[in-house]
Amino acid sequence: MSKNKTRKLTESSVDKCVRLFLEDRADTKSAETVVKALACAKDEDGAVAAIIAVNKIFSRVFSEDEKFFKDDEHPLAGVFSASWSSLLAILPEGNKASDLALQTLLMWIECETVKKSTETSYGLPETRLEELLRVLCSDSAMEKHLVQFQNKLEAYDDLNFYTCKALWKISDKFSKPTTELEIQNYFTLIKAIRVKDKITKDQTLPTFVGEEIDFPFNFQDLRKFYQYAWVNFLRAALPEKLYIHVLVFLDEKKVALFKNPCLMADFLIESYNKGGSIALLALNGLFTLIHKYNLELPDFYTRLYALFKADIFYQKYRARFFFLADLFLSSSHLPAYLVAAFAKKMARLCLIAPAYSQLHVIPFIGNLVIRHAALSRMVHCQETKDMNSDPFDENETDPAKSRALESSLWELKTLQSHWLQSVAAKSSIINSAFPKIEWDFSDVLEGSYVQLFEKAVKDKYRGSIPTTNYHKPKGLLKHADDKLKSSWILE
Amino acid sequence: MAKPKKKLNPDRVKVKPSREVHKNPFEVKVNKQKHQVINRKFKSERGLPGVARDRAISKRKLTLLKEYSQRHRDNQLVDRRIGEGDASMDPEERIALRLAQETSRKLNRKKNIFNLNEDEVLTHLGQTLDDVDPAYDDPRSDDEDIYDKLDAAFVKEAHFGGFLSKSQGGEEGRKRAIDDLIAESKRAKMERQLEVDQNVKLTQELDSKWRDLHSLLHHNEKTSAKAKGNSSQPDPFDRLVSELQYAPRAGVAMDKTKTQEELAAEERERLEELEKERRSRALGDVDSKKKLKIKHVSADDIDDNFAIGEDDGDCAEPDLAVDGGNSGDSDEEDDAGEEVEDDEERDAEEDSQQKDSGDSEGDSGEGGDSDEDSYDDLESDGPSEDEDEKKPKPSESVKPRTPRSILKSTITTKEIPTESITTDIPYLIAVPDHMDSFETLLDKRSPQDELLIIDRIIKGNAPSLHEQNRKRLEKFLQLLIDRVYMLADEPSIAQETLQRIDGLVPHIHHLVELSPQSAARSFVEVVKNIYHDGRANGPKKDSNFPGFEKLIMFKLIGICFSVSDSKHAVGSPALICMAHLLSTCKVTDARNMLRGIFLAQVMLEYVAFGSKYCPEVVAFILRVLSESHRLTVSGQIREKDLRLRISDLYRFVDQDIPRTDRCKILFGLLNLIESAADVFKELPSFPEIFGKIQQRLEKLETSWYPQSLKELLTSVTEKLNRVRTRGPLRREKKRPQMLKLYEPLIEERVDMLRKVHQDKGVKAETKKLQAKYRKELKGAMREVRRDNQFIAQFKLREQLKMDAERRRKVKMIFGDAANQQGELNSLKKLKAKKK
Repeated sequence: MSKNKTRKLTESSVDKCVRLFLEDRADTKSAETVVKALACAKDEDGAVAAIIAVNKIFSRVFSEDEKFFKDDEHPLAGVFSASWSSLLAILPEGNKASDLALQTLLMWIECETVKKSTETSYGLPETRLEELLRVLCSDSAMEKHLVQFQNKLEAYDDLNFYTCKALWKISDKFSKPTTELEIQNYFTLIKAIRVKDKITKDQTLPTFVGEEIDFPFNFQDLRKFYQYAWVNFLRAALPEKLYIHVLVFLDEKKVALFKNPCLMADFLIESYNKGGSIALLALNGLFTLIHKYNLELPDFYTRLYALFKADIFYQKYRARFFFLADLFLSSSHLPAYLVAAFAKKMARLCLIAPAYSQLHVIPFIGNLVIRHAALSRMVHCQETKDMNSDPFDENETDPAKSRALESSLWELKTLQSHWLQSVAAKSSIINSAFPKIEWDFSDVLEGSYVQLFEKAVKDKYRGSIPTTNYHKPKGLLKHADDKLKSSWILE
Repeated sequence: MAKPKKKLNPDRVKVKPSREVHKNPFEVKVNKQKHQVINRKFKSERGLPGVARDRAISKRKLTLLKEYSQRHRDNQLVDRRIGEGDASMDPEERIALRLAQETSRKLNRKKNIFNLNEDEVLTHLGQTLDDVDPAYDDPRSDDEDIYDKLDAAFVKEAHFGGFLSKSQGGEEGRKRAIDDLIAESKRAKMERQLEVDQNVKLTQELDSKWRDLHSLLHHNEKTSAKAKGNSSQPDPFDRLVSELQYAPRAGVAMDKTKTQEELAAEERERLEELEKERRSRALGDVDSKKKLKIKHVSADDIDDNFAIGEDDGDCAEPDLAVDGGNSGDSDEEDDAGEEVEDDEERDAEEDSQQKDSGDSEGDSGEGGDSDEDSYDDLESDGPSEDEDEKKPKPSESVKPRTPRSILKSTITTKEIPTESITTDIPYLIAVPDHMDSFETLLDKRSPQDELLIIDRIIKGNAPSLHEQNRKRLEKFLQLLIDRVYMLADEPSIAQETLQRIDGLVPHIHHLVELSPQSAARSFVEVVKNIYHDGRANGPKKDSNFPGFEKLIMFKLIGICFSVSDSKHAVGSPALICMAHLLSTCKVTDARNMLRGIFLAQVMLEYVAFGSKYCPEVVAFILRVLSESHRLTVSGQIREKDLRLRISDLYRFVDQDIPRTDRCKILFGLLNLIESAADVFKELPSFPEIFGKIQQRLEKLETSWYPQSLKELLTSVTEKLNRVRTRGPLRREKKRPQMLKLYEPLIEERVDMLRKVHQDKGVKAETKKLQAKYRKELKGAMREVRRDNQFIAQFKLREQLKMDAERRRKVKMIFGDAANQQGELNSLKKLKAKKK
């Protein structure tokens, strides 16, 4: 009861102070009391009331006093910075007051930019923005605030530019160990940064100030900030889930925005060496670097060769991997032994691969044989010798030493009797001479058992009655085709 | 009728020039040739222009002129008498033809053309047949001697007895003797005639008397038959007679009764044939024709007992009928009536099963009865049917029994546990239409009774008995599948339940064969449910294997369908589902391992016939073997604990695998590897497939294994170690393809002067046709022109004629008038003179 009373008292006193201040602009004391009330506000309602009061005071000050931001020795400057820091302190609480606080902060930044900007200098308070971002990137930041800030970022290009700059400044902290949440929040913000050139001179970007004053936009600077913000961020120990997100996000187009994309190489090579699905994703970025930015990567193909493991067919990003692998092996200048090693390795993996992946791996191998005439001896060899043991060494990590070219693709012959008719049909390509044009398997890259199943169910084999088994069963395990009765008993 | 029209046809009119004209040098026009070529003859070398013109004119006179002169007439008189106006015809012939026409016209006027006796009066020797006296008909039978012969003694005496030499009294005596002879023969003839007349009279009298009596007798026979109560069933002899009457002339050829060995050989042959077809289907290279044949064989011919409708009558029902007085006799009766027709139909069109059953339904006349109805009938007809029971069925002796049906009947009789019949099970049970009624039916029944009930439901509702039955049984199949599912879908399974399931299997197989299409539909639904199981994308990664209630469905599909086909409506989805389960579900605990082994074995069962390769099974084996550190056996294990039990699939999930289970899993796994090695033994990459498996098997710690497990392991490793020979891949040699050559240009005709259309194709053909059209058009125009000329000439002639006439008449009138004037003048002069 008494607590309620005190709160009501403070609320009324805050209102009174506001009224006093509004009546007399010189009354800095009452403003100070309001800010103090804000700093000391214990509960949500009190904080909300205090924020509203502070906002009322300063919005009046912003609108009436033209010199407030330009004059550093303004009597209210101290009060303003105090209220700024107490608002930042409210942010992590996550209640209604913190939402209001973020709104107020963003509004103040906007006001300050508008008031402070002149023809020569742009008035966006960079230090204040940095402070705000530091709070937002800390592990106590709220997700909804990030979303709110993102929306703002999208709307204003000047905010976008300076946020990018501020993020670069903040990103130094990732050289030291950081928490997962911090990394996550930073990633959310940096994801929202837009890097785009001003297309024409006439086109003005949406800013706080509007069209009167051009803000000093520099595309090269933006790229630099963006690049370093990323590169510093990538030093952090990313959790696995985020790692995949980052790799998926940093596609070709994003990397192109960097001033020096090769700075990514360290990160990508590191992730590539991690193996698994992360390596598959890093492959994409590495490919861009090699392809467009002349990155020299020694024994790239050996590393690629190492990625071919039995579990590759079950990875989520297998379609992307095989697409890229096809791209890497598309050069006809690669040595035949290398390509042969890849072909043989894939064929060997096919022996225990799921049916859907065989549908694209078999044409892949076929394409390799088409591209490299030397490989044709793997499917059609004139010599006669006993090859009971395969000369190909499956466990050899170096494709050059795998002796794949001496071997034959018996695996494809084996797959000709695969239980799935389409796989068997695909693998019978080795029975006749290869065509000149390669097979296009891009449409089956995304295949899965589910697709196969749906197709099989839909395909009713119309016009023919499903054939039945002519052996009459005498029981569950008493049947002509039975293979279970040697090991199972009905008990 | 068409004759006058024909005469108008200009093509038909032919005027031949006389021979003399050809010789007349003034008529002949020789066309001069520019270049003379020896031995070349032109059609237009010589011509007879005068003759041709004359011919054309006379032709026009006959045709065009006639039309022209009749152009204002609305009708005309046509003389249609035969040969009228044809002077060349013989008058006799003309009359004969006219008579024939007259009679045929009379005949055509008949009301009923099929009645030959209607109007025509048949005659015999000029007398109408009606006039011939019916009494003339001799009532005596053919056996009696119609032609009175002379007495043998008399003949001997008179003809060969030296008649003349014996005569006494010379000329006189001889004459008298002859007179006597004549008198004697006349008398004898008279007597005979009398006797014959009397006989006839007596016969007629007897006939009339018999007619009265006959009606009585007939009546008596009928009533006695009625009293017996088998009016519908005629005398076996009569039946046989009527059957023979209606049987095809040559008779139905029957197979001879076959010995047991022959039957076995035939069965083996049939199986071999089926197997061959199945293999070709498994390889997936069947042409459509063959496919049709297969469909015909597997779906309708072999395994369908019910369309034929004899099995239930033959083997199963009698057993039941003897036991309980009022059993499914109405079915039997129907069958007996149908059997002959059925057999014929089966010979004719075995494959159209549906139609067949429908036909027989229509024949039996009881097609409309529902099941309940027939059941009611049975109860009311109870006593009278005992008699029928004892009677031998006549049709059975006639019916040709195919060896197949006999064989089948023996199989089915074996399956029915006759000794365990409980009395309170009715013999005819309607097909339950939903699960609740089915369950109440089977409530608290022993497994044997349950099977008996299901058997009776299926037998008593055979599709041949009612057209709705097929649909009912299709639904019943779904109930059976659901029942299997429900029986297995428990936290644990008892042996009795397994026996129940085991017993259901043959019935399910039977129903599947009965209507494969709907069965396939329901099984696909089942597979779909198992596959999706509440998830759109199939089984989740590292999920548990489905329970036995789902695994058994795959097993059932394997039993019921020919899943070894390269493409199968049920087999393909089931295989994909199994492959997905095997490659995603986890194998970390005993239960999942055992279920996985079960599923992998079922999958191998599917592909074993076509010896197809399953990468998923190999991958599964490798996955289980990678967990082999958890399967190390220590301590004594009894041999009998090795065998896998179905109940093992119901274990609780336990991370730590119990000692006995480890052995079981190893036992199952080794069995799986062994059968996989058997199935894949022909594959060229056998060593690569089993290389890793072999390595891992070698690492197993075998010291505590029971003896049989050790033996199994050594036999498996032996199998895997077997040395194979293989060479590098080489394509089969193909005949080199011939180079494409240009076709040589061959000219069919060499004729320099004539234009020959040598190029073929549509263009050339149109060119040819256009030329022909132009030619014809020219000819037609010429003809029209000449026609016009002809008509104009004719008109001119007419005009000239008319003018001349007119001039003549004018002249005449003028002359007359002049005469008159002259006379008048002379009269005037005379008058004047007189005056």
